[in-house]
Amino acid sequence: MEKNFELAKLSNENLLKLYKQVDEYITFLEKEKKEKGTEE
Amino acid sequence: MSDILVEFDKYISTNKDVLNVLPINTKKNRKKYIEKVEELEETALKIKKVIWNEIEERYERYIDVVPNPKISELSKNIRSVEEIDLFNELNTPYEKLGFDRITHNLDCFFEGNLDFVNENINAFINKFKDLGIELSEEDFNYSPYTNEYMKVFFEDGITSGDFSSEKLKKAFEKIYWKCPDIVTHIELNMRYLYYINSKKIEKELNSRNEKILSDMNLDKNGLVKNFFEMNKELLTLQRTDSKAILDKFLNDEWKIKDFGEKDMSILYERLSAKNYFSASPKEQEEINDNFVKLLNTLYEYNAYIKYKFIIDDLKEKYKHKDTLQDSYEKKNKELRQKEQELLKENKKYKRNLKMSKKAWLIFIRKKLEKKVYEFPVVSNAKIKELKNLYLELDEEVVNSRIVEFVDDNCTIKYMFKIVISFYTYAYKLAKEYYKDDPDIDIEQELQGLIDFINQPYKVMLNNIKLAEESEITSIIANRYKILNINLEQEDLEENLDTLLEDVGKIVDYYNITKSSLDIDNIAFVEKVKTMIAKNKKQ
Repeated sequence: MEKNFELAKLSNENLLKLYKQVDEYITFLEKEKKEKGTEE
Repeated sequence: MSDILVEFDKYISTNKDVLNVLPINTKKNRKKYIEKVEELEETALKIKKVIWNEIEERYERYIDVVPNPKISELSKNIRSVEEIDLFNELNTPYEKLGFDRITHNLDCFFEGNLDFVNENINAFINKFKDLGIELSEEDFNYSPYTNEYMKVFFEDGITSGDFSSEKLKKAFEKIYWKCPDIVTHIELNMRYLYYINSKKIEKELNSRNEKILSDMNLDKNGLVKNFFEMNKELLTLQRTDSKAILDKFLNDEWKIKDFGEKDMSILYERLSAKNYFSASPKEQEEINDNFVKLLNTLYEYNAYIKYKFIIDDLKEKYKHKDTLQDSYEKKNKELRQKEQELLKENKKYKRNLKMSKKAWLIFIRKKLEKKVYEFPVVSNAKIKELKNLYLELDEEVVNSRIVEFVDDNCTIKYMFKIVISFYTYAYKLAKEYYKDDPDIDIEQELQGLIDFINQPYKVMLNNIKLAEESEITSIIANRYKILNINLEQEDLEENLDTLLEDVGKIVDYYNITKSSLDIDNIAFVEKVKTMIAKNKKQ
């Protein structure tokens, strides 16, 4: 994933989709951390 | 879906599965779970950074567009022939050199703003200086008050270059209470100074104009042709310039969604008699070129409607053309006679003032003092009369041009040119027309007309004659039907704004496709711009 040449091959639209995917994934992880971290 | 998107989707699902099977029933397990989440988050953030770098790199690359260098080169060349106004056959050096604007400013915008008055007086003096005529306080003798103020103006303002000085303010205030019409006196003094120097100024202007033409190796017609051709080229370059187009998207003036294929298909289908999207590239080019022509015509028609009140006034004058013969000469003669009377009275006043101080016989002194005392009121009444005569003369100069240049074959463009050649007249008409609309900036409205007449696309107004004016919408509609554009008279008469918007959009779309920009890249820039703004806020 960290190989830039792969990203360079992506169309503008797919690059933005991928960014959105990662962003949503991070939001999910943050939510998990918050919810599970506060459970007693 | 691209491989990389599928791959990443799988990666997320796998990680979620891993988290799902982790036990969270005890505090220790939950701690382990959080540690795993944090580990995944750290990796995800790194990935996000790598993707964002790629997005930013593309964004910077796409917006790294420079204006076409020909634009600045051409603008520079146009500036070198901007003196085209000096060759206007309709007006006199008074208008060509901008003296009319100075006196107009004093007439219309004084409203207690002394700095503005002083700036205009200074501009007038400098214009004379530039023409080789050095003015002094002695030249300002229209009334004793004019002379009194201009003495301070030359001594203090001109010497120090400070036209807001206390000394000037005090001098003005002192005179103003004795003569509230002081600004009018100065204004008419200026007009008189122009009149007595007009032959010299005209000679100087002619010799300068000859030099301009010989330096450019052109005649007057060549200069005008050059000016409009260069402007035409500049406008085409500006309209299709990638940097200018991209800036419109970056400034939110345009939105890429408005140029979507579906919206554009609907527009072309409605306005073009030919099927645009099934046409060959050559035919598409032809269709679009016709829309460019139509847009220019619509701009012309729109300007014509906006400023029709001006044409109507000129036409009314034209109806009475026969009665306007020689009226300028007559009015000018009357004015000059009255002006001479005033100047003679001024000299007499100065003499009386001097003698009243010397007269040793008391009854003679009293008589002289009475005359001196009464003079300002008599003089001011005469100046007011002269002011009206000057205003009438401004109207007569336009009348004289109608007599000389207007007949039924005169084009509408030429009628507009007469108007913009005489700013004071145009201003007076516009002020009357917009009298019930105080929010209208008349200067701005007139500048719009001047800019319009100075732009190169005036094909319609350059051809339609006064006699054909009533058929203007039918002439336009028929012209574009021949070019396969669906245009009815009613579209022009009832839906002009919508028509302008729709045709404008087709032309904008055409210009985007003609530029070096890629619609997909513009859409990307538009989205990323919003993301950057959002990131900055967070």
